[in-house]
Amino acid sequence: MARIITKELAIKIRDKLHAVLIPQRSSAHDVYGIYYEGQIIATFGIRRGSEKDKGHDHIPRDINVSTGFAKQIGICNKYLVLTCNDKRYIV
Amino acid sequence: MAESPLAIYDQYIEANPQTFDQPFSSVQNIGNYIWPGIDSFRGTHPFEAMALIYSNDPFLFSRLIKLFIESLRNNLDVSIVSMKENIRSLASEVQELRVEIQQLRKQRAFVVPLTTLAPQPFQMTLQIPATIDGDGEDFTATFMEANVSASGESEADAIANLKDMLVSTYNTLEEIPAQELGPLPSRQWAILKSVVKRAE
Repeated sequence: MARIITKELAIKIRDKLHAVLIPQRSSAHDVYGIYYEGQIIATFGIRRGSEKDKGHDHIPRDINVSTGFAKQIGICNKYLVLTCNDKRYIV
Repeated sequence: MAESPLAIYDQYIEANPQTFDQPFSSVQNIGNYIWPGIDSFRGTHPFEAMALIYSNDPFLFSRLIKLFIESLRNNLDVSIVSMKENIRSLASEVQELRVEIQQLRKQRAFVVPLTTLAPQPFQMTLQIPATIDGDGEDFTATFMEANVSASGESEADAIANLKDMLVSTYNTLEEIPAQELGPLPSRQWAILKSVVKRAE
């Protein structure tokens, strides 16, 4: 838990997964939803604020992958295969 | 004192440079080439055989010793290289273990019961366990059952952020029609509904 996923990396993961911002009235987080075929399959929060190195080590848990895998999604061209109702989705 | 076999060999080579210009790849080869009778020593004690070879043909003896030493040296070189690789690999594994032990020493995990979502306009119908883990620099608070988590610079920060995420997730999932929720969000919604409700 040594700040592996920073805010900067969290934003890259968000972009890579094409996560959509879900507007909140008042929250310390921006909540994003990952959609596939019209269904929301996971949500995660990115902390507000300008600090790029803010810890976001909770994101792997939110999207059900390991920390290393989440990091790889952000830094390289790794794709994500999700299994949902016995169907495989490539994100 | 008798001259050593290697000295005899060197003297012989110097005196007869063309005599033994054919390479010998093994002890058996040299034996067959120079002295086919070497097979007759099979079954005798090695020391006895060596003494006989030395007394009959010091040059052959010295050549055999030299091949034997070279063979030993080659085997020793291979062993040393292999040992060096093993030591390097062990040192690397020890270093990795040391780092992991240091991380485990730093790692702290405990469970805190959450009883309120104040100041948010929500209340909890049940006390829920929040698992906090961190290394002293960063902490993550998680409500495992609903798979909702948040990070913070301190335990308190992480808990405050978890409460915020619980409310945000509740608000988000509440507004999405049930048919648009995937399996994980459906489960999250079912659990959150049972532990969180809007304050009246």
